Amino acid sequence: MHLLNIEEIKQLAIFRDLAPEEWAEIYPLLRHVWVIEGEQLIREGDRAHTFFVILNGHFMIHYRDGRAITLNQKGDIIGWSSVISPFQYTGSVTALTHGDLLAIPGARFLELLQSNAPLGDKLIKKISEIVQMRETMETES
Amino acid sequence: MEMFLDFFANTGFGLADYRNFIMIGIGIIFIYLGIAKHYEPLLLVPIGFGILLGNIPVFKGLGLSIYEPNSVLHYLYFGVTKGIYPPLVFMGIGAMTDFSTLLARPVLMLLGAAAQTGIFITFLGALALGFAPNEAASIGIIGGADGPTAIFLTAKLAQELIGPIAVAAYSYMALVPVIQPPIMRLLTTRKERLIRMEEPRTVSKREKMIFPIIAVLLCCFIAPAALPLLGLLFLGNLLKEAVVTERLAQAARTSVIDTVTILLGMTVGASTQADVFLTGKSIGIFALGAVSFGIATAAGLIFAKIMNLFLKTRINPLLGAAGVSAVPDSARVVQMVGQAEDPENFLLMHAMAPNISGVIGSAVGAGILWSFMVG
Amino acid sequence: MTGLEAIFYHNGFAMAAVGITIVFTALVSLSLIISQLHRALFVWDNRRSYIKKALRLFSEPKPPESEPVVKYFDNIYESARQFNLLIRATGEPFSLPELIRTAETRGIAHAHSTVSHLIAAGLIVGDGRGYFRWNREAYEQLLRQEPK
Repeated sequence: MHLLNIEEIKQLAIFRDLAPEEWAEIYPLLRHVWVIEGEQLIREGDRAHTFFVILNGHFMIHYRDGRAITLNQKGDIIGWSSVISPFQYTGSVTALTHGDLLAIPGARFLELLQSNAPLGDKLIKKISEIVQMRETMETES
Repeated sequence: MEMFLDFFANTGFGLADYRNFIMIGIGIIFIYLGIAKHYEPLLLVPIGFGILLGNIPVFKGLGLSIYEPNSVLHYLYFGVTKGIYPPLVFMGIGAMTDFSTLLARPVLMLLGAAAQTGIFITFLGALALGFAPNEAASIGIIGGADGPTAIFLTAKLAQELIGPIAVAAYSYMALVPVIQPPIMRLLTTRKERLIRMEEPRTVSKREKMIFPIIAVLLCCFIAPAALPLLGLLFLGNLLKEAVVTERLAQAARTSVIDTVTILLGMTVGASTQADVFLTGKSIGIFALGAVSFGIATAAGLIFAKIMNLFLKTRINPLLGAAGVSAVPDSARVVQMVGQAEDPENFLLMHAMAPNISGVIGSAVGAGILWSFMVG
Repeated sequence: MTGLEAIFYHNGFAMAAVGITIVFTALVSLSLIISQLHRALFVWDNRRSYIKKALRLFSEPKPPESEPVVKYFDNIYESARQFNLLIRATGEPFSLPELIRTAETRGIAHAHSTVSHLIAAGLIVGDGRGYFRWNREAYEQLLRQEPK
């Protein structure tokens, strides 16, 4: 995590409203991961174990029927199935470019839920808001 | 040649019978489910590996088997048979658990109590099937969906059943997402599943600090036999909330609970030796365990529906299913089933309240059964 | 001994009834005390949270504008020509992962990142249903801007 600008990460949509003590709890769960062009992060149908927050790069979420959407906004979320029903990845994700992301293991997130339920709830709502906003933008476009 | 044959007769291959291989297969399935499917890996991997260790046939008298008094495994198993590990696990759970959802809506605690009905109904079922009262009590506690509690009570009442009961309890805990949803859909209407919960109030740090002290005094005065489990559960929680003891809380929720979980899982797994485990009784325990789990879930759901007849603000009856204390899996299942009807309905945090009170309820239930049996 | 006879013999019904009553007594009394505790501390705790909320209203930082993190690359004209031909052959609307696969089989290097650049340049656009189209207007405009 030492390569990251913490203040910038705190301003990402998902973390923006967290109080300092809440941020202190979520920070140890974050892992910084790098991907290369063409690398597959998530495979459709797999048990959802991790969710990612985009820091850099362009990513494609694609489904078996050929549909796809692409994401390149800093703070966008990938793999939210690991915290929201049905806990199974509903699409595959491939990196279109080199990039880096924050990864949060679903299991660690559940531990957080046990140790601080209001914070877990806040994050799940935030994730849901971001996903809904993304869906609205797609429909409008 | 004769020496070679003698040596072969004393190897695992020579001593094994088909039951050892069945158990080794079960151990490998546990490890597979833990690693590949992520079903409770922290429990299933050590238990699965323990099953392998316990079912490698060994020469009796060399002090290798877990049931031989001078073996290493036997010494490690001491923590199980004397009921030492489960309270230590409870201390770790207390040091990780946030009781604020419970403090915000204490009425949801009743759902945790209702789900414990499963324990006592299964106790009656096991008596009816011919199990002795001490065995019936140990089987009933599986419905509490709390592995350490089940092991604790069985160690006190029916040590010979620790293996099957622990394996049944942890298996059903891992299978919460499979067992609970059909019962939840069967016993609730769509309209009920769509009920949204009110936002809970903010809970102050002071309340969180006072809670473990009040809770331990009250619960242990009412059911003194729950003291080893609840005493350490609330000690762990006080360490967490007291802030000044953060170092101790950190140790309790990481190194202590992790070490104990490894030892508990491995020795419980090793205690499932084929000749002890593959018996008619084990099949009965597994069947009754599933019934117990089902009744506990149903009791929580039905009680939530009954509560709605009296409450001004109705609660989502799905929360009743979280009264079984598989933390936080059953709360997660409530969220999943609720969101299947309404993706914007967030029940997870609310479900944590009955979920945590289920832990307290099952420990109290275990204490009561223990005092009945020894009294 | 089995059945009701066993339950009666071992005093099962009485034990179960007393057991569940004690569990309820413990948890009901705990919940009652907790609710009173909350009331006792209610005024003090609420005053704190109101002050906190009021302070938060004044100090809330404005959300930064989100910006795309991918920029153009130098060889976009050549890539655009290649993909123009490719998409003509495959037809529209097209599946993005399918387009990348086809591009790779035709030997186009860095198909993933090239597609990313074409999306960023507005040459490949979504149709809102999960499929994509080739933006001819943007393509022709791009070619007009190509340095000779």
